[in-house]
Parts: sequence; structure tokens; C-alpha cells
Amino acid sequence: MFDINFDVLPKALDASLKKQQTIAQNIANYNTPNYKRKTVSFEDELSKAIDNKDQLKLKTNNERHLNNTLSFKKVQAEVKIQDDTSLRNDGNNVDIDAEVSDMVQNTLKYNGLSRMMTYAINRYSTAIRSVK
Amino acid sequence: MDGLFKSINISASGMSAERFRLNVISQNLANSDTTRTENGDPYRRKIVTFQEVLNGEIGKQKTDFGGVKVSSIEEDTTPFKLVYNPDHPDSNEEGYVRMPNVNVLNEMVDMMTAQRAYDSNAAVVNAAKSMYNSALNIGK
Repeated sequence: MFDINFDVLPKALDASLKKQQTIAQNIANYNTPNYKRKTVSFEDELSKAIDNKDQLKLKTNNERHLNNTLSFKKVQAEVKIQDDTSLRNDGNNVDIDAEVSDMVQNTLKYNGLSRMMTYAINRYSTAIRSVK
Repeated sequence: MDGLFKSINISASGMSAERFRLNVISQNLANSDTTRTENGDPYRRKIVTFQEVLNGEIGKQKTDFGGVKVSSIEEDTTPFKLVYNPDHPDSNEEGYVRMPNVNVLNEMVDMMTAQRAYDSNAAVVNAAKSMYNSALNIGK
């Protein structure tokens, strides 16, 4: 009954929340020796799952059928550790300016996504109300 | 819901760790001229070390973040400075006084980084608050 927004937006909101936690963890460990910053990859995986035009898909009509492409419903926010760089003598690689700007971007993104969710709901409310 | 509060908790742990570090820095600065302690030596500079807190299943990559904690307070082992001051009550036979190994400049720089890190953590709390507010407004 509901459109794709109701599947994708909550996932994106969850991923954004995980990203917020990751940034909080990075900033909290700004002065921890040998701490390596963590990142969340979600957008890349999602776009791969939603429009992989260059890959030939297997036709399925059941969840349990063999499938060569990842369904976007199964895309999860994945935490990765970036351990190939060092910014300071103590082995820590948290760049505080980058983290804060990431955080600002992520907050705006979350707020935007939640507004999109509101609009998605409102479209249905409008449809329901106009039948009267 | 738990998720958003968690990021506030992580930042809170960062803030309390940085505050603790600031306490130790002020202790170092306050004792930068202390030539007598309980064990008879001059004051030794104290260093705080932090450790990341991670929860989760053993064996898997741990992604349940818990923030940061103070793991230990250690003493700086660099030798004491020797200052020639024969009038000082703690001077030795040659007239030298052993002064604490606190470098005021280093402490001031540490103080600034602690302050900036504290500010950044506070900014994260505000951002998480704004996210939580917008989540509350979904459907309005």
C-alpha cells in the first residue's frame, strides 16, 4: 500500500543516527592515544542496491528466490575503522574540524529526512481526506 | 530513541573525561613551584591517559559505542629541573634546588586542547538535541 519512501526514509534516518553516534564517539576520543576514527558507509551501499543498472538482475517474485543483487531493504549502515592514517604523534587520527563539519551536515540531513518523512505521510493524509 | 540518547551519553563521557583532564592540568599548574611533597621529592607532573569504551559481542567487530573513559593517571618520569638558589630551604649542599618537571607552556597547550575538545562534545549534544526534536515533529 505504501510507497518506497516508507521503506527507504526510516533506513536513512537510522543510518544518520548511527553516523551521529560514530561522530560523537570520534569527538569523545579526540585525546585518546592510538584511537582510529570510525566512519559509517550507507549512501554508497544504498545507491548500489537501488539503481545498479549495469548489472543484470535475476527475476524474482519471492523473498527466498536466488537473488544476485542486494535488496535495499537489507542495506545496513556499516561501521568502518580508518586505520591507515595518523594525524598526531600519539597515533590518533581524529580531525576535530572535519568531525564537527560532518556532524553539522549529518544533523541537517537528519532534519531534512524527517521533514521528507512528514511530507510522505501528509501526501497520504491528503489523499484520505479528499475522498470525503 | 535509545540511539539518540546514546550519542548524548557518548558526548557526556567525552565531556567528563576532558573535565577530568582539565582538573589534572590545573593541579599541575598549581604545583609548578612545589618543591616538597609527601615523599620528600618535588612535585611530579601528572598525565591523564584516555581509553575508548566499546561494547558488543566478543569476536565480532564491536559497534556499540560507549564513548571514552579515563584509564589511568601516570607520573611524568622526566628528571627534575635544577635551579641554583642557595637561599632556598630545599637547596642541596651545592646550592641547587630541584624544581618540579612541570612545563607551564605544555600545560597551557594541553589546557587549550582539552577546552576545544570539551566545546566540540557540547556541540554534539546540541546537534543530537536538534535531531531528536525534528524526529518528534515527524507526522505533524
